[in-house]
Amino acid sequence: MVPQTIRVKFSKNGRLIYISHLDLCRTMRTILKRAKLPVKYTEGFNPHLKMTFALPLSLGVSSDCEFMDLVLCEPMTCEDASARLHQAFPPGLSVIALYEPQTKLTDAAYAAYEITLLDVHWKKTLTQKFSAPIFVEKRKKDGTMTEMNLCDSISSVEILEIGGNTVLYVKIPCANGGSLNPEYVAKVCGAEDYQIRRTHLYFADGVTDFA
Amino acid sequence: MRDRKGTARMNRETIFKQVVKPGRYVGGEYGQILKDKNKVKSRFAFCFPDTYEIGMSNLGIRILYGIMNEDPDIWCERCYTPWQDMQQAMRTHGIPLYALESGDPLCNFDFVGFTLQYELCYTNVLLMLELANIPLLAAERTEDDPIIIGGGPCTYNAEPIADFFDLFSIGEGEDALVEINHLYISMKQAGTYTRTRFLREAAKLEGFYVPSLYRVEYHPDGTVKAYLPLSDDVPCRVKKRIMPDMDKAYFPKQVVMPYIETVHDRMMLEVFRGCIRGCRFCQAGMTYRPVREKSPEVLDAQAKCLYAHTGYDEMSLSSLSISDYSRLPELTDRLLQWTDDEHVSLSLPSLRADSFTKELMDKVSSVRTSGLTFAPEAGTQRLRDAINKNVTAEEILRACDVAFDAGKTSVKLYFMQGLPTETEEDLLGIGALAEQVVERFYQNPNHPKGKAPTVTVSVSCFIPKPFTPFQWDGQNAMELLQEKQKIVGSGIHSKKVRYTWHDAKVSRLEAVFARGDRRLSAALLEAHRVGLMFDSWDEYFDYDKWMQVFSKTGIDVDFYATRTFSEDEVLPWDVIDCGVKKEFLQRERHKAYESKPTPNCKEQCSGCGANSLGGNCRWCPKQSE
Repeated sequence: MVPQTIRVKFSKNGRLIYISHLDLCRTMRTILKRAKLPVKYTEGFNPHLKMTFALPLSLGVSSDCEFMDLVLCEPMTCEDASARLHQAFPPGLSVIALYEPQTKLTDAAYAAYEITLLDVHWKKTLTQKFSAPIFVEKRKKDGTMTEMNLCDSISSVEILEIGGNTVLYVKIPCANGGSLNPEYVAKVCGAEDYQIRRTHLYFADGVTDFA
Repeated sequence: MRDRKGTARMNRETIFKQVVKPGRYVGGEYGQILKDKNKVKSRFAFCFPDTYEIGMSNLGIRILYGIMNEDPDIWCERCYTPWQDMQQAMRTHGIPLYALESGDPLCNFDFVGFTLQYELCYTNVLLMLELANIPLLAAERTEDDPIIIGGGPCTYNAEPIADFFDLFSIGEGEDALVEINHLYISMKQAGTYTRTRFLREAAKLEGFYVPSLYRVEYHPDGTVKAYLPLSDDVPCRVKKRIMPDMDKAYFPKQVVMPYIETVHDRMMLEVFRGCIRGCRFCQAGMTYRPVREKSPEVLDAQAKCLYAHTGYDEMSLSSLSISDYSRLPELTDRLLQWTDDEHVSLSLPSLRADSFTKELMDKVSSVRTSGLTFAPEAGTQRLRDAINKNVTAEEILRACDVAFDAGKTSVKLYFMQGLPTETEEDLLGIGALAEQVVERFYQNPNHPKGKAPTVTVSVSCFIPKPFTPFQWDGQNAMELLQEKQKIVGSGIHSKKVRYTWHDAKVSRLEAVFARGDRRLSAALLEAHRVGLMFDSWDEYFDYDKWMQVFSKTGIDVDFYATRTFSEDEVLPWDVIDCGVKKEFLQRERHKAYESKPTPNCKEQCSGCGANSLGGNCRWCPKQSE
């Protein structure tokens, strides 16, 4: 039996945006069991599911482009798997596509976010702000605080005013040590009310949609 | 008109990002029940007065949420105590306490129910009422306020909290809660409903205690003189409800699945209710009698159904004493036919040392297992006989052997101190027993080589509980409890024995409320007023503040906690009938003082009286009437 890898592209919306990536991973176990997908378990004393995600999603961010790879130990058509998963998904998660991947999850190089600042018209001031270095305090992995230039972690930013709100389209590179949390960008703008949505993952060229 | 709900939801979204673990407050879980609020006739908000993580692990809510929602006329939703950061945010933004499914404020519901699992949750009950903008005292509620109903183990003595509840459901709530909703609906439809009339009618139903319909009189010395029903159609004693046939009783097919990590995130299969043992300190064993088992066929079907709807990879067989289940090998065999292949591990909590065999160990060990735990409760056979915990040192050692044979190196032993008839010898016996276990490890030729054993001794303080033979016995004074903790420690010499003990101050507070009466409501109000909450949490428990509260409200702590009650006294919980007779409890107490054990129900009936409630119990004699 040759293990078959399938890739699930799904969206995360609604109340689920308040569930952390780690919690989502744990929940995925029961979802897959309910879907009766024959997912492969690792060998060893403490078997766990062979499941990997492309890029963790920060708390509070919704997404239209979540990617998860699963290894199945029994062959199954993608239609069948998709239908089962759709049934087992809780409200807030939705299957967008399910297929056998031709690329590696690590090929995802950029994440694009849409940051909507509600009820403000700040295109002019923010365009100016983002044309210069913006220093913020960031907590390092060892707990100490360090200062960094936000713009170093952003590869591009486009600012528009749409329907009474200011919208920033930000492209952030996926780094091995952890990408920038888009919340930093939103906070630095100074708006009280904002919504963040991850809209795309891109390949290394920065424009082709990751798949 | 402003869309009040719409604004509230927007406000909530903002604060979700400001608080720790927003997953506690968002709802939207898989398995939640959503209904059209315009089509149901009664809305029930089921509150667990502690955090989401703790409440979601409660088996009782799973069952009651399920059965109420099976009824098309009832919509039951859930609510948990918000953490302090969320409380502050809610107050700042003017968001009242709401139920998770609909997001609607609790004050708009017909019923707000609280499950009372332990005494230290009482301040959280008041906190939740206040956050919901519902008057704390039952006497102050108006026709616009929901009916506040309580259930769960603490209702066996609900007196300390009685002034805050409109009514209590005593005993098993599956049928009772559906009935009370139907009574409400029918009175509303007939146009005869008022709070007063409804409560009067509820009191006529079996298993419902309406505290406002009793007048309590006290003797000059502070003991209870009488509980006087205010009219003839109010019962002198409220008899608890039971589900007579557990095979036919409702059991949920699905459960609400939390996203965030909860205490017990797994399937819970309720195997049987009640306990045959009759340990003299144990309230649950007495109040859940008569013993009623489910058959293995029914359990297997329920387990399969639950697994299909949840996908959990762990299943615990819940009961008070799983090894006493009469068909345990059959049940485990049936379950193991599919659980191994599905990667579902079985967990058997509440295992008695005297029935821990290699065969059982092999079955449980087929997947992951946690450490081995036994509860000898007392350090000497003499005291174990007195408290009727009929397990011998040899049985414990033999059980440990089974564990050591299988490669386990750690064992946890639970004990209590401050038990009636206890002497210093008994306290020193705790360490002696633990060290015997260590010795046994090394004597066992199969023990894991190159590894040292760890025996953890965990000692809690005895708390006298209503409806037990020890309900009349006082808890030791605080200084004595603390001294005893040191004595136990002095009896432990081996480095392989770890000694942990529970805070005596927490136990003392529990003891006050366990045997308390209605006059404690003043203390609860004051405790709430000064901001006491989450009393069972280390970071919140404030003993000194509680003592100030008691002092200010004129409560003599010793009167409830340490006083030996007279067997002739009227007890505050005499208004409740849990099935077990007072005469039986007295007999058992006298036997305790003679260090004489009592056989369990399987061996011989001791006439506890619980069979008067009926029910399908294999060992209870049928009533002659």
